[in-house]
Amino acid sequence: MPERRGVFLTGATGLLGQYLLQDLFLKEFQVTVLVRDSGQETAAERISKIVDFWSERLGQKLPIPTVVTGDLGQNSLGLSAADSNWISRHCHAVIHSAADLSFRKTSDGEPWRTNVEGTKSLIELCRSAGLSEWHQVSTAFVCGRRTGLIKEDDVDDGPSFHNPYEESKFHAEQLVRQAADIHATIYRPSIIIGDSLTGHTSTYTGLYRFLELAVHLASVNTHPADDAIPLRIPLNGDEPWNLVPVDWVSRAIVELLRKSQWHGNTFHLVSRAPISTRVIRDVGVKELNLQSVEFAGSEGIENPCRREEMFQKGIREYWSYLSGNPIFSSRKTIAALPELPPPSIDRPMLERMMRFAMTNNWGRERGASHAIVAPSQTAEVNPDSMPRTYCAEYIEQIFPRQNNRSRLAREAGLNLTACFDVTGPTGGQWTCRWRRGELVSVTRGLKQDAAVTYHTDAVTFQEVVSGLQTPQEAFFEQRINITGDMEAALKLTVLFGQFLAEERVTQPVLTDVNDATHSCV
Amino acid sequence: MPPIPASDSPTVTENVQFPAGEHLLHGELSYPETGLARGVVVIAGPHPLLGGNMQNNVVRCLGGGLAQMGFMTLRFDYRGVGQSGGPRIDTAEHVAEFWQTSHVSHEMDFWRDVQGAVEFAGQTSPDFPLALVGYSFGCALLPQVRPKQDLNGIVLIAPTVAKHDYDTFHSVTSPLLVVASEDDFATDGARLDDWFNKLRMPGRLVRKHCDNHFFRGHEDWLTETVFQFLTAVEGHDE
Repeated sequence: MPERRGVFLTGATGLLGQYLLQDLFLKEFQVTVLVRDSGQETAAERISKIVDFWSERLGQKLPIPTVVTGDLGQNSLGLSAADSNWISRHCHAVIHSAADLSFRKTSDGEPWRTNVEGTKSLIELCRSAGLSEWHQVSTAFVCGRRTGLIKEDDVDDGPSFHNPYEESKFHAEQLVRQAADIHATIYRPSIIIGDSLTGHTSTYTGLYRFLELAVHLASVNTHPADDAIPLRIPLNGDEPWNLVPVDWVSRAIVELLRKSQWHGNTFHLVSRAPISTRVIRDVGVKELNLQSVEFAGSEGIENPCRREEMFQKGIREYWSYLSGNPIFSSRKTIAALPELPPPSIDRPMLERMMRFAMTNNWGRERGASHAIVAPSQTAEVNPDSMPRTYCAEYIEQIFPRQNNRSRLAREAGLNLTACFDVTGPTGGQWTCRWRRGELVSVTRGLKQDAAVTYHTDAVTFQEVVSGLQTPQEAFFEQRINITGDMEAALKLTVLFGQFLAEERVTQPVLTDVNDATHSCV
Repeated sequence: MPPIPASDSPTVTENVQFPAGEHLLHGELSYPETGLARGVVVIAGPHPLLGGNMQNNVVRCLGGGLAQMGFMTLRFDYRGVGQSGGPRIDTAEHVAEFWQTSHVSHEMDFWRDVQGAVEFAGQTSPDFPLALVGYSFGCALLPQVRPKQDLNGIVLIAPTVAKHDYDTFHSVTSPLLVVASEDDFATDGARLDDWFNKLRMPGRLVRKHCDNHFFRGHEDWLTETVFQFLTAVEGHDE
């Protein structure tokens, strides 16, 4: 039995939070997550999707964390007394990963409301719950406008900042450092990008915003005269981008969580070799058709065209990051994690990031292409294109072929006659006979000597054979009724369910459960 | 006795994990939002190869319904089912074996999962009186369970007296409610009577036509019946 180790995680639906959830499970932590209901989904549904995604990707079922529904923006996080009691009883550490990423002040008080006030509320909750081990996900850019070497131990009491986001994260750090009864460990990642192996991301800010703008403006003609004109961008190509893949950041945090001797420190989770705009552009030429993008130098562009103006306006929020040059020391991180050095962002990795982003249209098709798709489809049947005679085609042609391939009926020594009475325009009646495990006949009509008869409608039938619902589930929902030998029918249902599961060809799927507000740095 | 909450009292349902032997099981713990409950009820579901998971209609409705009525309830997936740990139960070998024998090797070991659930419930709410509810195959597992806290009562829903050994119930002394469907394929009526009449514990047998073995469409009635019994044995103790 693994040791019972409860972690209370905020921001689990953000990009980094999703990876933290996975890594905490893989290290056998018991996880409780604070999640908001969204407009369309409950907190539990949102988390369930993330767990399903990881389970599918890892090829192993991950446990569903305990979900407490709440919001950092509400008093007492909006938690019930029961939820607070649960956290008190089961969690020994908090990973505060939730953050608002707004670079500009919003009308509802972000990013201050979530990043500072939310942290205050969380501190209060942890105090009352007797939870003192705190892991704060901050950002390397709490250094503000400082340049030169930025050490992990540096605590500037008042740097000037590029934007309200940096300032709010700085104050959040200060809050947890100064909170009585809180023992804080601070993690400061630089610019987080997608998964180093797959390119997967659910957050398209920072580098992605830069690239998306370049792609759109380099390919869209806003004026006929722009046809032959390159898109000049106000950079010289040497600007360093300190990028870190999300999977490494997550692993680093979870490893450090397990190394209690390092708790209480601040860790820069940064790249030791920032990559230049020129390299990014070169990869973009290959992957994103950015050949028309030219560097105009950091002094600015003479007589910019409309597209160039739009580009400058679009990256204005990020501009300051490209003009400064902080150098982040990561001595403590390297000392604490000798086995987990930060990966170098190389060209193949950048290619994966760009391909993923393009394939997913920069996160703009979440509802459609990113949803978890139907669990499976049979090898020979595409439910989306079922003909009106689907039931007949399945029972008379596809099912016998599948049955002959399967060893299940033979292993069970099936000796039975079963009928299917399917109502609806694509339905019909059939009788199937098995003898000594072999399907010896499929005939139309119902036979009196059948041991069991299944009664259902064509829609249910299609959903069952295409894997959208198990036959048992359909039975318990009263979508299938049974006459005859009930026990034999139920057991046959089990066999049939197993048979269908074996026949399925699982499609690789990707999901994207982005939390636009409570995502991570 | 505390007043009975309205049937629509808000409840909280948590995903929980707890150890059972060498495995970590996945369960759902439901309780009134106030955190105050009048007792804790552990529900043992049907056979994993016959719809036996915590989403089963009877298990789900009892878990949610009794929580609305003021009880803390724990339902769970047996080892190898859903997201519970342990070797998968739904393998081709098991399914074939089940087809031939209506049993799976070592299936009675699932009592250890109920034991784990009872111990977890006891740790979560040590001061609450405990009741056990079994449905179908889950009934047969209950006599093996050894709770550390007082056992207020046992509820058997559609007990499989024709398929499993129920003689061990003769030594149980807690109050017992048996709910059986008149047309249950898994229970021979005469045999059920014979077994029930030999029990030592104070018991009640309720019979009704309830969709064969499955109680589909009768879940609310079933929940109310169980609730009445659980409140009655509370009063009996006092």
